[in-house]
Amino acid sequence: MNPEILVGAADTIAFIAFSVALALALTMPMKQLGPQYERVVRAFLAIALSVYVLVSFSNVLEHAGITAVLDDYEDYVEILFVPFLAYVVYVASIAFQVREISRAERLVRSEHELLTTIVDTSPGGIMLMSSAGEITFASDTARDVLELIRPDERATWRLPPDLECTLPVPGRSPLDVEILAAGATLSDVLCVVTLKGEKRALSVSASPLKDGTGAVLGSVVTFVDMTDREQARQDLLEAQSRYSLDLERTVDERTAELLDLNAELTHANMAKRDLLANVSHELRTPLNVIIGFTDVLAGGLAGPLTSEQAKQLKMVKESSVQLLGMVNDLLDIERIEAGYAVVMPESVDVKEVIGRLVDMMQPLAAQRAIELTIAAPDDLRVITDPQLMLQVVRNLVSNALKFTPPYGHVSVEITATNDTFSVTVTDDGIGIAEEDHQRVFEAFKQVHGEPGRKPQGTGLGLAICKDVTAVLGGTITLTSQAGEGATFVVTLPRESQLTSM
Amino acid sequence: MIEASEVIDLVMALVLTPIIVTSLRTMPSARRRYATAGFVAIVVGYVFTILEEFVLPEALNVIEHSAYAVAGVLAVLALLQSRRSQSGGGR
Repeated sequence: MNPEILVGAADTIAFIAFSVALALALTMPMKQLGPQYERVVRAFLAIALSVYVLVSFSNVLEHAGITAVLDDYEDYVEILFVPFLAYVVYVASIAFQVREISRAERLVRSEHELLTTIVDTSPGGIMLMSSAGEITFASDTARDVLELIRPDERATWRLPPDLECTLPVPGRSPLDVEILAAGATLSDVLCVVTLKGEKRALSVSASPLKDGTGAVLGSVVTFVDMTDREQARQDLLEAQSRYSLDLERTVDERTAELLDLNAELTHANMAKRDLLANVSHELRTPLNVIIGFTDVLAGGLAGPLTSEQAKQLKMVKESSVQLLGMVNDLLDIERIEAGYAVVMPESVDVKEVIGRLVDMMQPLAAQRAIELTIAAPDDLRVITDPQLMLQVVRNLVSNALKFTPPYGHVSVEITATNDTFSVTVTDDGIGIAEEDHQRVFEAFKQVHGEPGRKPQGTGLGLAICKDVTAVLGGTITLTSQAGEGATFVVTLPRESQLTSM
Repeated sequence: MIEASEVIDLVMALVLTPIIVTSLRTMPSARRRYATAGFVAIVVGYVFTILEEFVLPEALNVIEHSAYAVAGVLAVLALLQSRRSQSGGGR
């Protein structure tokens, strides 16, 4: 191909391309450069591109054989291209860098504003202590609380010369400038500063401030005003102390009152016991006389009786015997509680002794149409007080007969182990509700078995059983449900000791 | 015969190349690529303008003018790229 054609084509392409580039340079937005650089860059870029528009246009005219008149100017104009291009690129580069710097400045400023807001709204004080001992930054709180000073607006802050931060224990102040300037590490060190005549408790913390190489530049110091919290703590401690003293005094007063009351109750109780003992004793003698003379009359020794008189005398005797039993119970309980009785152990054949008691109570059982049985091993001998043991068994059997309806059954069963023996009295009477199990063993307490039925006796029988069993070194237990009968088990040692009650 | 203006063009281009290249580095990569290539094409044109006086005058003359054409096309591409990125809001 003819080189002239190729050159002509190349020149034409160059002319068109640079013309388009020139048009673009003149019309395209250059906002990224900023308004102050945009016009300069656009102008010089247009000039630079115009150089090659002119050069390529001159070449097109020359190679097309139209004219070479522009060729003389072409060389001089072409010299301008590279310097203009260099200027354009350089200015654009500066424009980009200025834009980046502006953006970074805005970012730094916004971050600074954010940090300043955080620091100023923080309830604690924050300071930067340089290695020269100057406070290069102090938050509002730090300036207010520590009353920082500075000679003029451009000077750095300083701690008041007379500032003392006293520690609760001997040690160096956490606000010591030398320590902080050297890069101190402190964690919640409590100290008290006196400012304007007012004491404030501060909790001071500090961390070393270092540069990229690890060299210490000073310290970052933070502190929290603990005055209110400490004051509240002190107030609480004082209130606790006052309350403790008040409580102690109240307890002492109440204790004294209770001791006085206890003494009065003891005195009253002893008076009651004396009264009961005396009254019971004084009642027993005439009761025995009444029973004796009733027997005399009933026996016809004072003359013949009509059947009606005999019947009424029988009622007098029964009531007298019942009353005597009550008086005896009262005397027993008083004797036990007063500790006047003595256990007199002796060798006892349990089956024989208790069997005799059961035999004696058979008429009473028969009178009430109740079957009374006994089951006991032969030759069971124990060392115990037979009178006290019989008193317990008698009360239990008597109780069982009292609360068992006609045609019921009461059994006395005796069992033994190597060390103990037990007397179990079981009936199929009205039973005792579980919630009353403890109460039935208390003196003068009786349980209503059936609605509307008045309890019989003094309410001392089971209390006497419990006390006497305890004196004999044994225990008494009750198993019962309301309406399902009751089982009392008295367990005594096979060898009781001689003890006073 | 070599003309003085052609030598001056080349010398100025070579002298200013470090400034141009260094400045181009701060610009976004797409525009930098086209602009750098366009500048290189211009310099190549300067070189062949001088070389054609010594060897292969016709062939090197074709290359010289072709280099200018390529430089023009690359300048258009660089400016289009710049306008596209600005209209997109990016760099």
